[in-house]
Amino acid sequence: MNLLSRKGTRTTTLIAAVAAVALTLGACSGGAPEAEDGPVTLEVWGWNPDEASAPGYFDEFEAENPDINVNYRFIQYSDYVNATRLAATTKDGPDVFGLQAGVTPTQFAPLAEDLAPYMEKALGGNWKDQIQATDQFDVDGKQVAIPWFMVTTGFMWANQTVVDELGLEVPTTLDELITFNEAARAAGKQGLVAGAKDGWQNLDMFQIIANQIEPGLFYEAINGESDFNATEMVEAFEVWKELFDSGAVQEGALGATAYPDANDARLKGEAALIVFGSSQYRDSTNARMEQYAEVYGDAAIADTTFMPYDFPLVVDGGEVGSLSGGPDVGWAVSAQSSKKDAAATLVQWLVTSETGTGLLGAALRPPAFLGSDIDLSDVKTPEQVTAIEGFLERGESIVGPRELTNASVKEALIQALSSVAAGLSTPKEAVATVQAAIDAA
Amino acid sequence: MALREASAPRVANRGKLFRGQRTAYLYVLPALILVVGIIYAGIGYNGYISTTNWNGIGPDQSFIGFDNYVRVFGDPVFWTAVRNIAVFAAITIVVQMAIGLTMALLLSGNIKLGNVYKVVMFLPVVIAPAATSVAFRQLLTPDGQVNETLRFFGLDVLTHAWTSDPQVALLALAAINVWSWTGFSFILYQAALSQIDGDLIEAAQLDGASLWRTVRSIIIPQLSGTHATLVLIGIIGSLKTFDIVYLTTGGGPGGSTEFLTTYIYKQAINFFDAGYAAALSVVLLVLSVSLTLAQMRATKYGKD
Amino acid sequence: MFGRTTRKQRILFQVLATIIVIPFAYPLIAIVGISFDGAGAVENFTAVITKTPFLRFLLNSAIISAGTIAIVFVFTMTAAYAFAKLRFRGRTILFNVLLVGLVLPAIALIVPMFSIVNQLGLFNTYLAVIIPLSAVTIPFTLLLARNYLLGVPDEILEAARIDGANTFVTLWRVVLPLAKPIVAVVIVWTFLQSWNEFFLPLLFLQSVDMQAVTQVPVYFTSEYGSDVPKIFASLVLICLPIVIAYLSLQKFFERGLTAGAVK
Repeated sequence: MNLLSRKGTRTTTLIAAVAAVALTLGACSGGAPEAEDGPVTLEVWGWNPDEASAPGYFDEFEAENPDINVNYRFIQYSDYVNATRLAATTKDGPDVFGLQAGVTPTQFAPLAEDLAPYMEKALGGNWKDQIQATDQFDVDGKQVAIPWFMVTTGFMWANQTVVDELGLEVPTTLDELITFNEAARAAGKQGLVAGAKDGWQNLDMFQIIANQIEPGLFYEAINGESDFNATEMVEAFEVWKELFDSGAVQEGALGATAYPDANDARLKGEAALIVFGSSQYRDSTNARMEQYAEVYGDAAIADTTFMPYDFPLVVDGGEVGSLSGGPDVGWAVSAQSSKKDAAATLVQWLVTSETGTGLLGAALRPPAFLGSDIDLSDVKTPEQVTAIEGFLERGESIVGPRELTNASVKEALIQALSSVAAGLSTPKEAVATVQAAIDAA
Repeated sequence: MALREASAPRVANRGKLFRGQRTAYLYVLPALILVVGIIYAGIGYNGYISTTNWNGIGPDQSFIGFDNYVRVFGDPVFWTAVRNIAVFAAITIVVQMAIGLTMALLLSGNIKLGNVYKVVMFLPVVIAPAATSVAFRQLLTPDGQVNETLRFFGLDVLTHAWTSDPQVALLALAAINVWSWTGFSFILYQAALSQIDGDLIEAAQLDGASLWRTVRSIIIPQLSGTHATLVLIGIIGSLKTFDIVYLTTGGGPGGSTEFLTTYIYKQAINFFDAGYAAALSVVLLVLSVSLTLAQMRATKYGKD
Repeated sequence: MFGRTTRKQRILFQVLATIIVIPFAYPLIAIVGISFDGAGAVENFTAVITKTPFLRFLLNSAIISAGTIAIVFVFTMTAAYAFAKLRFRGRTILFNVLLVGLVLPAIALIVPMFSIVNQLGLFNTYLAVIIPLSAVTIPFTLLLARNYLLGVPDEILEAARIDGANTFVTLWRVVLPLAKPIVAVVIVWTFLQSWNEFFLPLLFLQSVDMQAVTQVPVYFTSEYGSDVPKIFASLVLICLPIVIAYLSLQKFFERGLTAGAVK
C-alpha cells in the first residue's frame, strides 16, 4: 500500500476522460411512454393499508373499474419514504403513492401531480369543502395529495383482558400509573410500554404532556406564534423526563420501537397499556383480531379486548383529555406517471366513492370525505362501542395538528426528546435547541 | 471488452517484461472505469451537492457556498459522533488486539480442541453483521439472555438495559464489534506468529528468560507490523461502522451512539437534507484518508 | 511457540483459552438455541421457509453474489496482472487512485449513489447492488491479487513471451494457473462481502421479490411481529451458506482476510 507516492499529470487527464465516459453512459436512459388505452395496470405504493387489508380496497376498485388493474406494493413505513423518494422520480416507480401528512408533502411536492384539476372535475368547484384538511397536502397552491382518512391521537389503549386478568384498574394519575406498572411487573407482565426509540411515538407522548399543561400552546410555539422556551415547555420536558426516571414507562423503553416491539407486547398480552391513537379503533373488531390471531399464530388473541382511555394525568394541576390529529394517509399521483387519468380515478375512488369510504368505515377509520360514517357493527363489546363513540366525538374538536410540517424543527424536537429522556441534556437546553430550529425555519 | 485486444504491438525487449505495452491500459481500464465512475464520480458529486441546499428529491437546489461545512463544525451531533467513534475505536482496537494475540499465543501451544476454538473465534467474522446485530439486539434487551445469564450467576448488579441506557449503549456496541472482529485479529496474529523464527525463542529460553519475558521482549516486538496493520484497519473499520449501529441502537438513545455513518444516513434519508449529508460525507472521507495517511506515516507502513 | 512448557503451564493455558472462548461461543449457541424455542425447531424453520419468501431472497442473494464475483474476478485479475507485470506510464498513480476505495465508507456515497442509480434507471434491479458493491470491493481484491502476482517470477512470463505469447495469452495460460490460490481468495472474499451486504439492498432493492437474505430478519419482523424464535431461525438460515462455505474452505477464508494485511 503506497498511497504516498508522487503524482503524474497525464493520469489526471485520463481519469477525467474515464469519468466523463462513465457519466455519459449514465445519462442515456429512460423509458418509452405507454399508451393509455385498453386496460391499464397501476403501480400503487403505500405503507397503509397493510398487506392484509389492501386487497379489500383494491379488489373492490377493480370490480367497479374493470379497465384498471391495481398492483399494490406494501412497504413498511421505516423503509417507505426512502423507497418512494427514489422510485417516484422514475417512470418505473409508482403511479399512485401514499403520503404521510406533515413533513413529506413539502418534500415530495415536486414529484407529485397537482390533483386540484382532477378533483374539481369530479366533485365541482367546492371540492375542498367536501373533504377535510385538504390544506395539509396543499404545498404552495399545488394539491400534492388528497387526504384519505383522519387520525386522532392523545390517548392510550389498554389491553383490557390483561388488565382484568391482573385485577387492576386502568391508572388515571402518574402515581397510579407507577403503581400499576409495578403490579404488572410483579405478575410477569409489563404496564405501560413505549417505543421510545421511534421519534413519532415520543412526539405523540410529548404532545399529551404539553396539552395537559396548557392545551394548544405546543402548536403555537412550534409555529413560532409564541415562545417554545417558555416555562410551560420546560415543564413539559421535565415531566417527560420523569416518565422515564420514575418507571412510568418500561425499562429499556429508549431501545424499543413502537412497531414491532411495543405493539407486539400489547397484542400478545405481555403488556397492558400503550400510547396509540385512532388507528387502533379497528383493534376492537372481530375481523381485525382474527387477523392478528392468524399473524401471531395464537388463537387466544382473537378474544383480546382493547379499550381506549385518556392518558393518566402526569402534570400537577393539569387537565387530561385534549386530542390532536389530522389527516393520516393522503394519496398522490406521480408526476412521472404515464397513466395519470387512471391514477386520479383511483385516488377519487379511494377518497370519495361510496364503496371506498364504506370500506374505511368498516375498518373504523374516519374518512376524510365529509358525510361518511364509520361502522361499529363488528366491534366486539358494547363497552368498546361506547368508548370509541366518545373518542370519535371528541376527535371532532382537536387542539392542534399531530404532524409537524417543518423537517428541521421536527428533527430538533425528536433529538431533544430522546436526549432529555436519556439524561444527556436538560429540559432548558432542550427547549433552547428547539427554539433555535424554530427561529431558523 | 478489454480482452478482445489480443494482438499487442511488440516493443524491443530491454530486460523489462512487456515494457511500454499500451494494452496494459486496457487491462486496467475496466476496474478503473468502475472505481472512478462510482467512487470518484461519487466524491465529486458529493463535493458539488455539499455546496447546495438540495433536499435529495426535487429539482430545486440553490448554491449556498460553504454553509453546510460551517454547519458541520458547529453541529453538536457531529462532535458527539466524532467522540463516539474515537471511544469506540479505542476500546475495540485495544480489546480485539489483546484477546486476538492472547488466543493466538495460547493456541500455538498444545491446546486440546485448538481447532474448534479457532473456528469458534473466527465464525463471527464471516457471519453477516445484519444477522449479528439482530441477534444481539435481542440478547441485550433488559429481559434478554445476557441479563438472564448474569442473574443466573447472581451478578444482578451487572445487568443493564444495554442498548437503551446511554451510559452503556456505546460499550454494548463495542462488545458486539469485539465479538464480530476479534477472530480477525486472532487469525492475523496467528499468521504472523508462524513467521517468527523459533530459534530466537529457543535461544532466549536457554538464556533463562521466563515465559512472560519471552512474550513481552521477543514475540510482541516481532509482531509490530501486525499491530500497526490492526490499528489501521481498526480505525478505518470504526469510521465505516454502520450495520451494527443502525440495526441495534439506531444512534440513540439521545445520540449517545451516533456515528458519522448513521448521521449521514439520517440526514440524507430521514431529514431530507442531501446537501448536509454530502458535506458530512466529504468530511468523513477527509477524516478517513488523513487518518490513514497519518497512521501509515507514523508506522512507516508500506514503505517497503 | 513457547518452546518447552511445564505441565502446570499447559493446564493453565488450556483453562485460559477455554475461558476466553466461552463468550465467543455463547452467542452462537444462544442463537441456535433460541431458534429451537417457542413452537419448536421444525415448526420455526418450516415457517421461515414457507411463510416468508425466504427461498426467493436466497436466490436474489445468490444472483447478486454471482454477478459481483464475476465482475470483481475479471476486473481484479486483469488489472492486477497489468499492475504487477506490465510497465506503463502512470502505473503507480493509477494504482493509488484505485486504492483510495479501501478507506471509503460506502455510506459516504449515499447521496451520489441515489443519483447514479436513478440516472441509470437501475432502481430495483440487481445491478443497482452489483455495480456499487463491485466498485467498493475491487480496491481490496486488487491489492491482494497484485501483491500475489508480484511474487510470480518474471522469468516464467518472459519464457512465454519469447514463445510468442501476447499479454492476454500470457495472462490466461500462464498467470491464472499460477494464481489459483489468490483467485480462490478473491472469490471467497467477494462472496463474503456480497452475501453479507446489508446497506445497498436496503436502499436499492425495495420490492419483496428482489430483496436479499440480509433483509430477511427485518422482513420477518415487520410482517409477522417479533416472533423471536422464528426470527432467530431466519438468522441461522441466512448464515448457514456462509458458515458451510467457511467450514469447507477454511484456509481460503483465513488467507483471504490475512493476505491483504500481512506482507
